[in-house]
Parts: sequence; C-alpha cells; structure tokens
Amino acid sequence: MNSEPKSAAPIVYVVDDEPAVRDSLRLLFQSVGLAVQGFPDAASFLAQPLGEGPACLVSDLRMPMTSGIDLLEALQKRGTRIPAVMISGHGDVKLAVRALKSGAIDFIEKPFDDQELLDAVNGALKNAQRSPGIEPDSAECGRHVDQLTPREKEVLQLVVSGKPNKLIARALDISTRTVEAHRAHLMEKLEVGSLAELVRLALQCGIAGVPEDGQAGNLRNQSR
Amino acid sequence: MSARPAGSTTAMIDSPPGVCRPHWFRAAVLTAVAYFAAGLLALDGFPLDGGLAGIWPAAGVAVAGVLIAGPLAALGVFAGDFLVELQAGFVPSSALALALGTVVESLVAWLLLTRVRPIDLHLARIRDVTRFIALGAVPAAVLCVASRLFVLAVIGQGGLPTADQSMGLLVGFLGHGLGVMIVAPVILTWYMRHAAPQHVFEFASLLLTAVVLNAGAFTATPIAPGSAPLYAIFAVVLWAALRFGPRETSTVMLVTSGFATWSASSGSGPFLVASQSDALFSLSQFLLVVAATALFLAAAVCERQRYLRRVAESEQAHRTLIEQMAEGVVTLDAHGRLNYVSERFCAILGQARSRLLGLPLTDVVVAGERAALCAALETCTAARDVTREVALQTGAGIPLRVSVAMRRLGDTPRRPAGIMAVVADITERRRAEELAQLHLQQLAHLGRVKSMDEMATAFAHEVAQPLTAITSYAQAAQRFLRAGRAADPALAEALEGAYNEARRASVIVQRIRGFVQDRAAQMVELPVESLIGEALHLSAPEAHQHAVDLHAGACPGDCSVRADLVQIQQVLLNLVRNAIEALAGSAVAQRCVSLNAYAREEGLIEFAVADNGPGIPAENLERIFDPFFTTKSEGAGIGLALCHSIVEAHGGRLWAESLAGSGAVFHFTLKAANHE
Repeated sequence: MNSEPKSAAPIVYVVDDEPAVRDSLRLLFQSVGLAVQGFPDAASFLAQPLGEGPACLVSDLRMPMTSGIDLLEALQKRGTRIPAVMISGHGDVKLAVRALKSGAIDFIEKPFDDQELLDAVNGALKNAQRSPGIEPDSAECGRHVDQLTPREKEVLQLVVSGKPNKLIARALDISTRTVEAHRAHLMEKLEVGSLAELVRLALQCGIAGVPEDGQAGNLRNQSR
Repeated sequence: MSARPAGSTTAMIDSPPGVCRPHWFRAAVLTAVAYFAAGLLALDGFPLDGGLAGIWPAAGVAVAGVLIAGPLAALGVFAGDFLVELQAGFVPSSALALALGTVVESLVAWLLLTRVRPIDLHLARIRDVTRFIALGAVPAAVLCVASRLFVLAVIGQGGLPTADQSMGLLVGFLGHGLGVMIVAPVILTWYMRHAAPQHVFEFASLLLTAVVLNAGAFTATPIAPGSAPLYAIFAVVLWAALRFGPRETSTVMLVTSGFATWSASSGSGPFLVASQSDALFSLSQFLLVVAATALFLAAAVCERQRYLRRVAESEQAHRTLIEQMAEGVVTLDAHGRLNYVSERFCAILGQARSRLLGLPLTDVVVAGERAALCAALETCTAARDVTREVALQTGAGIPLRVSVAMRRLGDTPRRPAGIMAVVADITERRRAEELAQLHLQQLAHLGRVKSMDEMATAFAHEVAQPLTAITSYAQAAQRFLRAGRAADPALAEALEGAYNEARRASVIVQRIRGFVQDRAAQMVELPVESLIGEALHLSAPEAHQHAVDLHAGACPGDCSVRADLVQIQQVLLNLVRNAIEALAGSAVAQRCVSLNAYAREEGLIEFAVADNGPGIPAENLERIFDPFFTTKSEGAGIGLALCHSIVEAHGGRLWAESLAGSGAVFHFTLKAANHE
C-alpha cells in the first residue's frame, strides 16, 4: 500500500489485519531498503496480481474471516509459489505446525526480534525460487535426534504436537518443572534457538504430530 | 345512661341464657291461674257498672303466656277465661263462646308475633314495640269486640250490660288493648330478665315515687285533668326509661295504671268528670298515651345504648387494629394538624402522644422536606391517595426515613374532613435493599473477574498487537538511526507510531482494570453512544478471535441513561460475549452480532443485542436467567442471572427472544436520564 513496487526489486507483501502492525512492519522493512506492500486481509492480497521480481509474503496467522493457513492453502491451490513467513501469536504451536505443513517456510512468534524477521525474509527472498515446504532429511535428522534420550524424544513429540507444558507433564506423569528442563535440554542438543526452529526441525525429521483438530486451536493455557 | 349491665345486648336479641321454655302443661296451668286471678282482680277491683272493667289485665296475661310458652298455653287461657266469664255471670254457653274467642285472640297474637313478624320479647327495640302493639294489642282488642258481638248476636248475652252499647264496645276494645300493652310487657320483660335491677335503691325510689305521685294524682278527689301531679307521671316514666329499661318502665306503667283504674272505678281521680263510662274512656286514652310513650321511649333508649355500645366496640376493635399495626397511623384535621396518633407512631418518632396532638404533621418532618410534604398533602386533598417518602425529625434528633401513605377522609376534595396517614419506618427495608445491592455488587465483581479470566486470551492477543507494533517501530527507528538516516521522515513516523501504540496498550490495560475493579455502584448519567462504543471495544478481541462482525447503532440524537457505568458495561459485555460464543460453535457463514439502542416512549431506553447464531431452544428460553442454569460445558451459569439482577436493580427489565435457527435477541431497558 505504500512504496511502489519496482518490477525487478525484491518486494515484501505484508498481510495483517492490524493497521499498526502492518505500518510498523512497513517501516522496519523500509529501514533495510526493502519495498513493502501491505494488505488488511487475505482476500485483498489474493486479488492483487503479483509482480515478476523476487517476493516474500509475511502474514499474520490469526485473522478474522480468512486465516493465515487459509491464505497458504489458497495460494497452494492456485499454484502461486511465493515463500511465506508466518507471524504467530505466542503459544500458537498447533497453528505454526499447520502453517509449516501448508507450505510456509518459517514462522515467527510475536513479539518478534527484528533481526530474526529480517533474516527470515531475506532468506526467503534469496531462495525465492526454492520450492516451499519441508522435505524430510533423514541423515540430518538422525544426527540430531539420536542425541536425545527417550524421554526427551517423547517431550519433543508432545511439544510439536502443540501440547502445553502442563498437559505434557500430565501425559508423562512428571512435574511441569521437569518438562521445562527436558525442553531446555533438547533445544540445546538440537541446536535450535526458537520454537519455530524446533518445529521446523521436527517436521524435517517427520516427528511432528498432526494437530488433532483441523481448526485454529486456541491454546490459552500454554505456559512456557 | 348506662344503667344496664354491659353485654346484655346479645341477651336481648337471642333467647337469653338461663331462660328456658317452660313445660307446656305447667305453662298452661300457670297461665290459667294467672288469667283467672287477673280476671277476678279486674272484676272485683275495678268494677264498672255491669262488670265491665276499664282495663282487662287478663288479656295481657293470655298474650304473654302464649308468647312465652307457645300455643299450648292457650289451653290455660281457655280454662281461665271460662271460669272468669262464669264468675262474671254469663251462662255456660256464652262463657264457652267468649272463652273460645279469647283463645282465638291469644293464638292470633302468637301467630302474628312469632311466625309472621317475630319479635324479641325484651321489647328493647322500637321495631319490636311497634310490632307488639300493632300485631299483639290491636288485633286482641279487635277480636275481643268481634267475639262479644258474635256472642251477643248468636246467644243473646254478650257481656255488654250497659245501656250505651257502642260506648261499652269502645271501652271493651280499649280495655283489652290496654291489658295487652300494660300487663304483657311486664310479664315478658321480667321473664326474659330475672336478675334484680342494677341500681336497686334507685329502682326502689323510682317505684316509691311512682306510688306517691300516683296516689297524689288519682286519689285527691276530684281534681281537674291537667293538674300537675297527673303530668308528673310522665317524669317518672322518663326516669324509668332513661335510667332503666323496658322492664322497669313497664313496671312503673303497671303501677300507674293500677292506681288510675282503681281510682276511676272507686269514684275519685281526675277523670271522674261525667258518667263512669266517659271517665273510663278518658282514663283509657290517658293510659294508652302514657303506655305507648313509655314502651317506645324505653326501647329507643335501649337502642341508642346498644348502638353506642356497638360503635364503641367497633371503635375499640379498629383502634386495637391500628395500634397493633407495624406502621404508625395518624389522622390530620382539615388544617393538617394531628388529631390522632397511634402508639406505634409515637414510638417511631420517640415522642409522647400529648406533645404530638395538635401539631401540624409538617412540624415532625425534617426542615428540608416540609415543602415537599405540604405539596403531597395538597395533592392528597385533591386526588385522594398519595404516598411519599420523607425523613422524620425524631425525638432522639436522628432523621428517620419513612414512607407516608396518605388518604383523604371525606367524600369530596371541596369539603376535606382531613387526612389519614400510614407511616412506615423503611429503615429496615432500606438496609435490606442496600445489603442486596452490596451482594449484587460483590457478585457482579466476581462475575467480571470471571469474565476477564475467560477473556484473558483474547485480551492477551489484544495487548500483544500494540506491543508487536511498538517493538517493530522501535527497531525500525533504531535501524534508521544506525544507518545515519536521522533526517528520514520515516524515523519520525516510526516514533510516532510507537508512541500511539504505547498509548493504545495503556488504554486497553486501564479499561480492563476499570472493568474488574470492585467498587460501589454510582448512578450517573451515561451517554448511550459511549456505552455501546466501550462495550464494542471490550468485546472486539473476542469477536476478532471468533471472526464475528460487531455492528453497533445508537439512539438517534444524544440519549443518556441513568445507571452505574461498570455494571451496565458488564451487562452489555456479557450479552455480547454470549452472542459471540453462541456464534463461535456455529456453522454460520457471516457471523454477526449487533448492538442497538433506541428510545422508547415511556422514558425508557431499550438495548438489544442480536446474533444470527443457532438461537435458544424454546425449552431453555424460560430458564436462561435462572442462576446456575447453563448449556456451556465451562459456564457457571451466573452471567445472565447476574445481568438480570443488575438490570432489575436499575429498575429495568431483561428478556430474551429467539427463533430456533435464526439467532437470539436479548433486550433490556433502562430509565432515560432526562426522564423523571
């Protein structure tokens, strides 16, 4: 909605129903010299013909009417190949997993670190031609996952299936504190810094459980 | 005036206790003996020429006998009269016919006075006296004449030995009538009341006076009619009627008539002016007038006493009722002054009754409310019923809130007889209302905390938005500065954006805090538009989360309600949240909740929260406002019950309408602020 996209210059499409978030992201991308076009909802983005140059989609996951997941699915259906970085609210693990499965290349939890977002977007723009989605990489997986204890593997499985710590603790009959400790350990062993990375890795390794319900789950009791 | 013992009212009306009907045989024998004795007395004591008596007391005995003992007493009448007639010198056949005539006389009197127009034998009511004379004495006299004419015609010996036949018949007529009027009441009243008179000495002096006066009136030879002693007899009758009753009065009459007849027959007294039958005629007229006067006067006095007693009893009962009431009762005269105060009113006020009587009611009201009460009293005088709440100035000096229900006494506003006011101490009621309000507040607070608990995720999301924006704005600004682009207008834009979002976040936090705070209700004027706007703000996060469109419409023009902001906000929010939750689980494509308000004619503002969800099943519609009724797995069922209580505490009404499949509408009303 702001900077005029040049045909060759890379462009970032921002889809967020929240005007302030959209505006602040525009300024953030402008500050690093990226062209930005903002959309208040999925429909208006889908209605817009996309330019020829490298492009990246940054979209909120939770939006009224058409959610971020719906947007990704609509893009897949159309065959539009555009790398997508999804922004999710804190605790939306189930949604994040679904987003990655639906073709997002990354997801970033709110409130996010600017560098993290810019890295993700820059990476996406560079590999704009790369096929979205995550292919399981067994060699890589084996190297990482072998380091985990059986209990840590169990915790990992439950974490990426979107279960909050409290429920994991109950499922494994251990205390929440112990779950937190396991989580910290396995993230260290797997060399991942964020939940997003963890989920991505789990997906690559084919560990990530499919969320039980197809709806956008609301994990209000999620605690870290 | 109160010569009678209290409680004799009932004894005079019904058959008195302790007076039982005598056995017919005894009654008949007694009647026969008494009749014979009375007949002999008349024949021997007051004989006129040819055995005609100026007064025939036996007729009274006969009537009294059948009235007391029933028709079988007529057997005694028959026997007594037969003997008397024989004694008087009639042949047996005539005596038999005359005795049968007398029996007919008494039976007719019995029939008329017990079956046709029954009387009370106390003769203590004017009605009874009238009936007694008209249906007892008059028919007896008429029948006597008839039977004598019959005997005269058929047998030839009619007991009318005087030369002047018509005069003889008239004297016989009057003598029978007088016999019934003078003798029967004495027997009847003494029979009905055996007890000695209340004031024995006074009664004795009454009798003595009667005797002396009569002696003076009738024995002094011969004085002119109209002399003082004759009329003094009326004074004795008055004395008896006013101080005693029918019994004593009829007794005095008996004494008087005894003297008068005796004197007339023995050739002395005021009536002996011409022939003996003329004298007899004058005497009869005199006795007739005195007897009727005495009977009526005694009955009138009795009736008045009974009436007064009844009024007194009724007043006592009402007074007791009024004094027993939990409310104080006062009456005001036409000038608004207290002329009656109940004990309870004195207690409420803490003042002595003597100090209150005569004071204007406005004087016991606190100074600030006197004008209002005056206005209310005037309204009451014009419109009959008015109720006001005022503060009374109590003896202890503490103002006391009371409700005063006033009613005009008297029929028309033009001639007010005063006002009656019922004064209720409403302090307790107020306290209970305040307590209920406090409980409602506490419950409402809990309800809000619970609501916030349920809404927390939506609010976390709501607050996360500005925080995310602030972070990005700040980071963008940082990057502009690091890149040396301090002059870039985008930098100012970023900082301004961060500032605006920080303010927005703090508004959200304040709003939540204001909503959850526990506080006393404050009734203030609230613009409807801002109420609705705020409700939409608070429910926006949840609506957003469940992809529900919120629509609002406010009253046209600037209308306001008088209400407690937080409580009404809670009602609106609860209803909107319910609507959103109803939609959240539904398969409706265009989820929509609308919040509207419009002014109604009666000075009410109606709010309506409508959704296009699945609606409420009819069987639940009646129960949704019941506490602890819920269809949600996680609901406690207090939300709507609480809304209901809050709206009712505001004097409004909350109701729901729903058509299955086409959503539900919740309505509630509040008083408009500009409406009194």
